[in-house]
Amino acid sequence: MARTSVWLSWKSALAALVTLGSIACQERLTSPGRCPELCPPNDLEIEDTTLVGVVVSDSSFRGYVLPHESPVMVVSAMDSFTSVAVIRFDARPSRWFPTGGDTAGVRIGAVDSVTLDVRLLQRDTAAKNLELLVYRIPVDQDSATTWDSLVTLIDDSRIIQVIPVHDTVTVANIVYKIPPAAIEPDTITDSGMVAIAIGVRADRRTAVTLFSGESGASPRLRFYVRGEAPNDTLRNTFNLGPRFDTFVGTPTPRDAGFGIVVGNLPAARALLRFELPQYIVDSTSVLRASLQLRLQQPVSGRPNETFSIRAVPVLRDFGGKSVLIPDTSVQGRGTVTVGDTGTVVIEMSRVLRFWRAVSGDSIPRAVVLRADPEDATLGELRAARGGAGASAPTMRVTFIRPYRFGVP
Amino acid sequence: MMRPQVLLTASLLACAAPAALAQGSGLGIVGLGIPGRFVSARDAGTAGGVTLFDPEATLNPASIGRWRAAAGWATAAPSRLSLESADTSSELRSMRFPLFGFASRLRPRIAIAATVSDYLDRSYEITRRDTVDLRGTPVGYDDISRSHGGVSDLRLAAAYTFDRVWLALAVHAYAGSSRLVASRRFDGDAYEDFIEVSQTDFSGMGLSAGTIVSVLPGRLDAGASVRIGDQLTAKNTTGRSASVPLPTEIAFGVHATPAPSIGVAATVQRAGWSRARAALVAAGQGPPRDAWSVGIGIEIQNVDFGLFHSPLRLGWRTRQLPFPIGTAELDERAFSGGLSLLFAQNRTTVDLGFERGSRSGGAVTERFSTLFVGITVRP
Repeated sequence: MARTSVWLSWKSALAALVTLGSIACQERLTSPGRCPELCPPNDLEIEDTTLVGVVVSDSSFRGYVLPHESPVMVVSAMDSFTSVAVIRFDARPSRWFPTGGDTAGVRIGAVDSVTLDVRLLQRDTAAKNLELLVYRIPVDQDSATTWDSLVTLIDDSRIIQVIPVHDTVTVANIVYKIPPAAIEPDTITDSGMVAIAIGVRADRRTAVTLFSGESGASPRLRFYVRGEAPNDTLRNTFNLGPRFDTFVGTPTPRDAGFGIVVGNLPAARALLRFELPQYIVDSTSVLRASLQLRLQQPVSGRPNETFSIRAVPVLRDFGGKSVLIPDTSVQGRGTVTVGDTGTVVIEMSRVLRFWRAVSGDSIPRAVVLRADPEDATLGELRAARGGAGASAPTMRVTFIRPYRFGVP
Repeated sequence: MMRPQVLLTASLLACAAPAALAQGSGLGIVGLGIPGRFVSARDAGTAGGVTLFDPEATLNPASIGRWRAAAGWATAAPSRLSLESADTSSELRSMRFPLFGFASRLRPRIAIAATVSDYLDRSYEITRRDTVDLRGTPVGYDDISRSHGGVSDLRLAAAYTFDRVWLALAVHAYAGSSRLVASRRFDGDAYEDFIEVSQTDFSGMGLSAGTIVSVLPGRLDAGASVRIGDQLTAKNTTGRSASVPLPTEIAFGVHATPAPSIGVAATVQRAGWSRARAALVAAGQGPPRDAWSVGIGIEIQNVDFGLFHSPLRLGWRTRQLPFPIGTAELDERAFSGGLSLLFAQNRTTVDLGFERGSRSGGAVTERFSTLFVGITVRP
């Protein structure tokens, strides 16, 4: 027994030793540098330079996102931009079927009330006594509808309701009654549809943004109806969503063919092709690369609107139909506010690092500038082209040349 | 009786797998790094006093003549270090495997051995916090300079045994690599982080010779060794390369047995690192110096610890480190102690050594505590 006891003690001691050994396996080697004695002999040398003539070719194209594809509708009464939302609702049936086996159904006898739901996304809080103006317009609205085709219909005589928006409301779901007689569906063509336009007014010129049918928070038109006699005790609600919605305004965005144009709806993009010194792309570590665009005019758009500009690397250069690299980790980015003048800066370091990792033979040194969010931005940037002399884009690059590790 | 061996071996292997090349000192950045101490756990217990006579140690190839049969051994050395300078301090941990070896007898008078040991430890990680002016704005950053690896000494030795004299020759191949990382992380997100990685591979050759003379058999032994290094060639993956002359190292020592159960030993070494002055100065390093080291130890046999009997070892050592911090020379001092445990009918020995010491130079001091765990198997 004595021998067993000693042996157990040995086992305990060895177990402790094993544990100690395991703990000691954790390495922690970091120590604070006390330079220059305890630091590497070579420091990182940072250089900063501005490259001119880097954009050797540029083209701008418009039409990537059309207003009716946008998740928002811009309603504006600004001097610079006037617009209305256009909504054509689904057809309202003329009858409903209270029970599954009922094939005759119940015809609508009377409309008790009608409500319009719209989701307000954005407003200018400086504009007081805001009102949404609901116009009744013909149902033949589609993607061909323009401001010019609609302008004669946007007058006070066609207002069917004025929806007041309290001054404290910024983002809200607004539900408001519409006179049933004014919103009765089209019976002339027997389509059963209703179309409206929504304008805006306040004690100052302003603009608001409403969600559209593409957003998931689409406008709704609800008809609360009773049946025709003898079923006039039966009631039903028809909840109609938009069959088509868009917004139309004036002036329409100009052709994007000249200059570097980005943003607005229909959305414009600019394709920029670069020629960079080989050492910048291939043999240095870029810490920061700032593409500097000189604006030809102040950034336009909704008052105080701020939006991003993304520089998306091109995978295959097919001009306006180029294939882009969707990975956001290799994209450049800048921020623009409506009214900005002077120079817009787009940070491109991630793009350059991506180009460094991939041969120029397989990836063109080109990016597409696009607004973000592209389908909900009315902001538009117009900058000088690559051949614009002193106003041409430049790139300021901060970089580290290859580090010289100490040998031995 | 094999279970303790299995446990201990498993523990050592568990340590070895992830961190075999990771060794550390905050001072590993200076010169060629921290010169390794190719000692066994037994040797470490006597502060290197018996290193010329220890058959596991690699300083003197003649010591392998003391093996009477085949044997294998390994040593692990976890350390805790604290680096202190004028305005900063840090706690470090490291794991080293300073020695592996195998020896056997070819003939009754001829023994051979193959060993792998620490030669230069080049593992460190240095952080630095500073500010740089970029585009007219001060930007804070953290720099990390990291090196993992070092140079190992692969030795093949053969010893011949005369009646009272052991003579030996050995060939040394120096090999290893260090993985280097330089990185900078900027505050905020205006600037991308920088990181660059490279690897430096080392190679070189050396020869050594040694002897042990039994001056008074059973009472007094004397030993000496010399090692001549050629060039250590360093090639970096960036294409840069350099060659550094390796030192000629000489060592003398005595081992006395004044009483039947007491051994006293001392070893003095000198490494001529000043040969490397021109190459290191050209590389931006401080000028190296010839470095002396002295170790004195005592070993008392069969001490009764209550539950077991074991040799008790104590020692003290000092050494000069060849590579300076700036203009300040570095010196190292340590006290040590150790004991041995026998298993498997004395076929397996577990040696434990403990060392507590410091390295200092200028305003920098690094204190260290190292546990040496050695296992020797004689099948």
